[in-house]
This record gives sequence, C-alpha cells and structure tokens, in this order.
Amino acid sequence: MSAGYKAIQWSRPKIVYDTILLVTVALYLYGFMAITATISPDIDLHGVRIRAYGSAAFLLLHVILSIGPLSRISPKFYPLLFNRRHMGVTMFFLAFIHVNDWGWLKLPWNWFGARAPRWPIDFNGALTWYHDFGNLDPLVSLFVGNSHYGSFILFPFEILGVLALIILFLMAATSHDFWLANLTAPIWKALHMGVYVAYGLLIGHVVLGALQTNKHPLLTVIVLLGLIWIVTIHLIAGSRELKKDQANLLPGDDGFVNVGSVSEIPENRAKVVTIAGERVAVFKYDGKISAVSSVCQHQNGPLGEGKIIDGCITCPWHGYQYLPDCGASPPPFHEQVPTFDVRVKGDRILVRAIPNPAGTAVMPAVIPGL
Amino acid sequence: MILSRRKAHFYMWIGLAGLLPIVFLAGLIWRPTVPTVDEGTDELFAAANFPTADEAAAVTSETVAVNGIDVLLATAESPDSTLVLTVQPTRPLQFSDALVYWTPEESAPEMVGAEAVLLGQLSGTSRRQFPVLPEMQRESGHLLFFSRGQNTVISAIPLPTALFP
Repeated sequence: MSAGYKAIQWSRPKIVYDTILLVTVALYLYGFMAITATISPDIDLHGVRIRAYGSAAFLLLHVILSIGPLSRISPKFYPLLFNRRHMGVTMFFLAFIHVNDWGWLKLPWNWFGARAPRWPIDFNGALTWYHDFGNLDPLVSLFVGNSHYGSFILFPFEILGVLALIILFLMAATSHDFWLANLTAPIWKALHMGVYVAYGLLIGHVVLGALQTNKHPLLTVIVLLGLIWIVTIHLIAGSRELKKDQANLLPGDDGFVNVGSVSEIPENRAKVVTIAGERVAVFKYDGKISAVSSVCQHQNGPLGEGKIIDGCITCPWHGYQYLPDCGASPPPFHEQVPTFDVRVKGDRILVRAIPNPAGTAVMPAVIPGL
Repeated sequence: MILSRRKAHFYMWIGLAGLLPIVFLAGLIWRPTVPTVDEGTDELFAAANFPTADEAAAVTSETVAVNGIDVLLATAESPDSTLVLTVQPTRPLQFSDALVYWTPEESAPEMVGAEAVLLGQLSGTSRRQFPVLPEMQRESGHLLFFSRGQNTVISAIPLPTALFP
C-alpha cells in the first residue's frame, strides 16, 4: 500500500505468478521456433525468431485485455487482476525484443569498448534484419523504407507497430505505484487506457504486415477469432456497466436516497448503487450499515465488490483496505475514500446523496432488532 | 473505474468494434500477390544472359560444408560448351545477401581481397550457376562465401580440383 514505495513488493503469490508467466512465455518461444523449424526446415530462422517474439507479445496482449472485462463479468477472474501489470511489462519487453533483439542487454560491453559474448538466444530483431544492412541508419530506413503513406494496403505497417510500442513503453514505464499515486488514479487510468489504442494499432500492424506475406488460413482465422473475442467481451462488460450507471437513484426532500433493504445485503458484503452518477458501496457488518464511495483510491477498483476482512473493506483488485466507518486505510497507510451518512428505518436503508469529504468518520447505522 | 472512464471505455470499444473488422476485411480483400523465386524465374535468368547448363551435361559434383551446411558444387557444360559452376546449399545459410567469390589465395582468406573475383549471389536453396573462369581451372584457390548485408565472411573453402577434369 502507500506506507512507502519499493521497486517491487515481492510476495510468494507474486513470485509464483511471475514464474508461471515467464516459464509459459519461454515455452511458447521455444515451441514456436522448434515446431516451425521442424515443419519448414528451409525457412529463414531470423524471420521465425522475429515472429516468435512478436506473436508472443500479441497473444499476451489478448490475455491482458481479456482479464479486465472477464473480471467485470465474473469475480472468478479477480486473481488474474492482481498481477496484471507484470504481464503488461513482460508484454512490452517481448514487443521490444521483437523489434530490437537482445542487443540492449549487451550495452554494458559496448560502453567499455568490449566485444559482448554471443548467447544462444541471440538473433537479429526486426529493426536489424530488415533495416540495418543498407546505406541508411536503421531508424531512418524504418520510416522512409516504405513511403506508401497514402495507400491502405501498402501502408508501412511498421509505423503502426512503432506507435503501439511507444504507448506500451509509456504504460510499462508508469506501471509502478509511484506513478499511480503521483499522477492520481483517474489520470493514470486514462493513460493506461491507451492500451486500447495500442491494440487497434497492432491489429493494423498484423493485418497489413504478417497477414500480407503469410497467407496460411490458420493464421488469418486465429487473428480474426482473437479480434472477435476481445471486442465482444469488452462490449458486453461495457454495456453491463452502462446499464448499472443508468440505474441512477434520486434523493428525496431530505437529501437521502432509499437504496434498498437490509435483508438483501449478505453479512460483510455490500450492495452497490449509483447515486448522482457515481457508485456507492453500502456495507453490512456486525449489525451495522456503513456507506463509502465504491471507487478504490489505488486503481479506482470496485470496492463494493470486495468484502470486509479483519474489520476492513478489502478491494477485490489489489487488496487495499479501508475502515468502513471512516473510509480511511488503517495506519500506517493513508488512502481515504468519501463516506456517506446512513440511516436505517425499519428494513430500509437510506443514504445521503451528498458525500462527506474523504476520510470523514460517520456513525454507522445500527440495524434494529440485532 | 469512475463514471467518465467507464463511458470512455465503452465508447472507445464501440469505435474499435466498427473500425477493426473493416481494417481486417479490407486487408484480406486487397491482399496483394507477392511473386516469389521459383522454377519460372530461370527464364528470367536466361533472358538476362546468366549462364545456363543442361542437367544432362553435368560433368562432376562435390559436396562441401559451408558454415556447417552442406553445399552441392557441380560443373556442367552450357549449350555453347562453356563450363559453369553450379552452387546449391541444402539449407539456407542464414546470412543476408550471400555472395560467392573465387580467390586465388593458397590459405583460407578472412576478408575479400583485391584479387577476389565475384562470381554471383546465392538465393536460399536455389541452384545458382556461375561462370568458370580460366584461372579457376589453372590455379588452386578458394571459394569465399561473404554476406554483404552483414559485412562478414561466412566461410572459405578450397575449390575442389576434382570439379575440373
């Protein structure tokens, strides 16, 4: 949480998660190269390695883009959200290696004028293999090698990849909680929504690049299915959220909103309602009712879909915790969310429409008869 | 997410759902046909006065190793009775712009010297034919395989004298 920034706060689940991620990526890369070399022994191996890293990044992007909407559709996918940022950084590095091979790891040798050792994983990245054997600087060649900027089908697909890589770099560079806290969650979230633009650019990169030269129907079908899958689940999740937002509750003359009955909220859980356009989480615990903003201060996660653990509202995304009666994280942490005045009349719960400032202590409403 | 981000997310995907399938379909419909090197290109080499030889006129052949890959060398007589050298890697050499030189040096050269004579360029596993120079038959020398793209010597092998009866 926010007590202090560490480069990466490793925990056993994170280590297990990252190990699975890296081993899966390594197996994919090895399998891609080995199977291709077996099926087509005459094929240019440099091109195969470039495609192996590029396709690994593209597939991982599909996985990353699936996690968000799937977790909106079913809470079973919440555990995948927990470490999605490590997936994103891994995906950026795969894309970068696709372009620039492993040469960046050999920079220390270059700085001291030494010759870097040759590693078994060495290969020529796309920038070297397709642009570094002519008279032009490879970066210049990249932008002027294909000048059909006015054509759709001959458009330099590499440029689409470059633009996507810039977006992915910005996201990877700001993936740390330091940037999340300093940019604030709404701005950080807006920046990281750039991944949708990057996805669109990469679809163009693949359609105008790989699919133009590799006409195997299987590749075409895989890319198409991936596109249909990602677009469909995002539209389903987005339209569900939109419907919830449209169920906006209006306050009565006293400024309070009738949000429902006590009996419909399970113990240590919340009912999420939309008041004045924003989500409010109404929690039931220990015979009491408290209401806080459903927007976690960490990544704007859905607090109301979490539960009360050890007396604290616990965000289902990354486990950030808040005390239900004041909306503040327990010491030494200092995140705060707005709170709402609450009344219970009979079985009905009434929540004041205007929130209190973040961290304001509010007396919980006691449930009569308990 | 907060309300404005939820709206942005939804409307962005509405836009992408409209745009990306169009890009995908247009990319397939207008996909150009890129010509590749096949048997049909032999006619182009012949039209450009590259040496040609009949399979039946083959004289002799040898297999040599170039950077660990077997390369078939053979001599054959072209229709005008001149001798040509055919070079065919069994697998691609994995170097860009692979050129073949003949050099009269006794020991394996480590660079393209002033006396090296360019015979021609390899192309994947295609069988390429190069003119046999008179000095190649008279003097001992090496075949030098050089990557122009990577500016590096791939390999240098002694030219087998058995190729020239």
